[in-house]
Amino acid sequence: MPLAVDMRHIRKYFPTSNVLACDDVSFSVNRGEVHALVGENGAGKTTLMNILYGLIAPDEGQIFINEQPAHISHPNDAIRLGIGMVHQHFKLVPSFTIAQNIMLGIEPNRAGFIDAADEAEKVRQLSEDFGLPVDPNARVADISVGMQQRVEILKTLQRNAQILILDEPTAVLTPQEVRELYIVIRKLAADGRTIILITHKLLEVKEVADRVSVMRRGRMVGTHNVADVSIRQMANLMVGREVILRVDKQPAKPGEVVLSAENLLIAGHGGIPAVFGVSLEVRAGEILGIAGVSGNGQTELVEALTGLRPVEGGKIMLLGKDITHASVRDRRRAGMAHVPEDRMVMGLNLKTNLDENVVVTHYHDEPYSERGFLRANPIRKLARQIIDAFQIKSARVGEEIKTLSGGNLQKVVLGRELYGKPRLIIVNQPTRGLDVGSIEFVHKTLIQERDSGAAVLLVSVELDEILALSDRIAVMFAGRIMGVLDATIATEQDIGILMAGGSLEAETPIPEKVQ
Amino acid sequence: MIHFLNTYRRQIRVALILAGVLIVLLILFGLPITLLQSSIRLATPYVLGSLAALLASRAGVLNLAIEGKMLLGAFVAVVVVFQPGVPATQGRDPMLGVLAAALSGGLLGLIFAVLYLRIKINLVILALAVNLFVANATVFFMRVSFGSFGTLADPSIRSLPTIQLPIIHNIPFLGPLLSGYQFVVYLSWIMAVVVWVLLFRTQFGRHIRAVGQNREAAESLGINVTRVQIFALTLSGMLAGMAGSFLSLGVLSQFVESMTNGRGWTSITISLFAFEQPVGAFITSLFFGLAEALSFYLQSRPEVNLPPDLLLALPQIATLLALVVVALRIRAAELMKRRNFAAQFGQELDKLRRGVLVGGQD
Repeated sequence: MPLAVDMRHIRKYFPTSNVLACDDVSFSVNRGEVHALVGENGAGKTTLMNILYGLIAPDEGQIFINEQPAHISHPNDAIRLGIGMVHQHFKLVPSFTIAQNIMLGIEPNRAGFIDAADEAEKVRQLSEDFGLPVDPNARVADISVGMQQRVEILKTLQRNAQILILDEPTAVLTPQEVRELYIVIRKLAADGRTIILITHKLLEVKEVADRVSVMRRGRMVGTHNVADVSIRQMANLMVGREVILRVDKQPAKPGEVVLSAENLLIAGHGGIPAVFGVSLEVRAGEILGIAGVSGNGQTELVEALTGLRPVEGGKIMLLGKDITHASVRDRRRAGMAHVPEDRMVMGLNLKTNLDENVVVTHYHDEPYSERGFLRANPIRKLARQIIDAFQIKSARVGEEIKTLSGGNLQKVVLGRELYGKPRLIIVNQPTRGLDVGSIEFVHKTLIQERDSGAAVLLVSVELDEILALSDRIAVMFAGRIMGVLDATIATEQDIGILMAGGSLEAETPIPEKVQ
Repeated sequence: MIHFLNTYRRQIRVALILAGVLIVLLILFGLPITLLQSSIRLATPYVLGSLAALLASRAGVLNLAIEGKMLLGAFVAVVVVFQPGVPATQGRDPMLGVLAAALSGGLLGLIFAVLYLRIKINLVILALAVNLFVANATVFFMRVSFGSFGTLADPSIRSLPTIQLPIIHNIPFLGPLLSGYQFVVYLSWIMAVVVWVLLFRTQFGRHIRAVGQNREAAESLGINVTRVQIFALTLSGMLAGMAGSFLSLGVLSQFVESMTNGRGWTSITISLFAFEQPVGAFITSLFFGLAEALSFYLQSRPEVNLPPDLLLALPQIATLLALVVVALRIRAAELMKRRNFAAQFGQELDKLRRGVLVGGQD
């Protein structure tokens, strides 16, 4: 069978974030097949497809389209070669009609004046040809997300795309819309078009794809016929890890409920719920881990719990007090500490010194300020205490912190947040980008806090970390909690299936394939 | 309150339109014709300025340098027709001044666009620099090149002649209202139509709006975003330059230091107030023209017993009120969005609530 896409030895390194996103990746797709590209977040699948679409230039490697060498340095080149991409976040102009969006850039015109009737007619014809009904004159702002996606697909078809890249196409769809999309995908493939489906939902792969390629940490780990692999096998390929971290800890002795959230509804990007009906409880003396591929509502959940994002529905209680709409300061006064996701941006102010960074959560209390004036000596004493308690080598009272290593910066954050015995500690990606020694320190510190009676909510995309630290594990997917597992019996594979949107109740449920 | 706004959206809109029509009728029949005429005349810089502002914001660039571009237009218009020693009758055609003002505004717009989009200078800093630069450069050249302080005037500088529109000026009542203005006044009306046609009927305008609303969408389809924005900013500069030429050649036939006097900033307010719609901006500009005309009119009336400073501040008060309305409207839209989100998804959530409490004791 002829190859529609053949990417050979692609390498892409991002120097700013020090990530090798694609490491000698080779990837080929047959003409007329539905080919799923799966992998965890950060596995490099979106980077690979952005290279194919001309949005990112690879450092090394060659691309062949329809077995001809191709130079793709701009989306225009890709469009000319018959490649179309439907991005995860749609690229539509909300105030324009469907027809205006589809024809953007290729408007039928006479001397620059748009022929609106012809435009609508062209779109009507297009939607008839492909059996994708749309109302050409409806405004995109008024139509459903599923319909918007259909507009995106029509946009590529109007430009005569033979190879369609769909990036996480079902992430924002309702189950009904997902079924409709599957039918569309099969139909396009039956017409001889090639579909590349980027996803991390393995059920979806089973339902709609012919072949599947799995990426892990920038490498291609295998391509299989979908019929020959089970969901469990794919999950293994996706999350398989070489090193397993283990932390010594005693069984938890959970006490009273410290944090409880009930039926939370939180808005995300573009008016779509980021968190949809999440309820959870964290008790004193336990660590509740929240696992999940990043972008499934964890960030928004943490922001809402810590008071950085409004809650649109539901209730949050901290030690029996309703804090749903409380200010950040009130939450902190009630005993909440927050180690945020990004220590460089949110956790610390790198433009100022250690003292100001550690006093920032207490500066308005005595003895750090009196009658509105900051007092240097108590602040300095606080900084010294934190340096000593957390053995922050190379940090000096009153000096800049921007030269400190990542591990030491995180110690500064932990030192500040854990000072004064918080009852609830919310930590988000606490060891991202740290070396092994620092990871161990952070893990030990969190276990210590748990043992001394704090409730810990740990959000992490690192499964190892979740498994090593948590007493119970909640798995988030698409803004919901898919299930809660007892950490002593949970396996990576179970979590992997839940993370991918599957369910543990039926053994690898394989729905009928949509034809 | 929000709920009320939501349910009666349609009725509220109808009521607002009716109120607007009523106000317009009251103004038309209740105020003296000379006041109306000067309102329409004085609205001209606002019409052109707000068109300049909305064209730039439609392309996704908040053009905060309109004040400076307007002032440059006012200065250049006078400089071009300035010929010391030449009697007024033989001076250059003031239309030449209008043309030069438009070109200089366009040139400054182009430079502004290149500095912002190609050299990537911070937009706010750049706008501040342009505004300050023009304000000081005009003063400097007035002194150095023309030896005048504060005001550049000369018999050779003629103001724009008034033009009676054939046929139209014979219509009773409407005739004097629509006819008998200077060229730039008519030009501003034409420009409102031109900008509307450009934005909503041409391919280029479609691209401007796409770039302003979702630049990634435009980019991913191969539209050259930078080029569209450079064009839009250049056109915006030309409109601002024209507005300036009306101030110096339409009203006074002289250039006065800082004579734009905040009209560029007011123009941005008008554009925001009118949702960046050319027709809306035109109508809003007429109200600002009325506020300005009223301030002059009331000062000339001995029977009005209001402090003259307060009357002078009338246009500024109107600006302030408009800004408050704009801010309130943005805030209300945000609240409405949140309310609708909670209503829509809250209901869905109730329907499918499974009552799974994570971590609850069994």
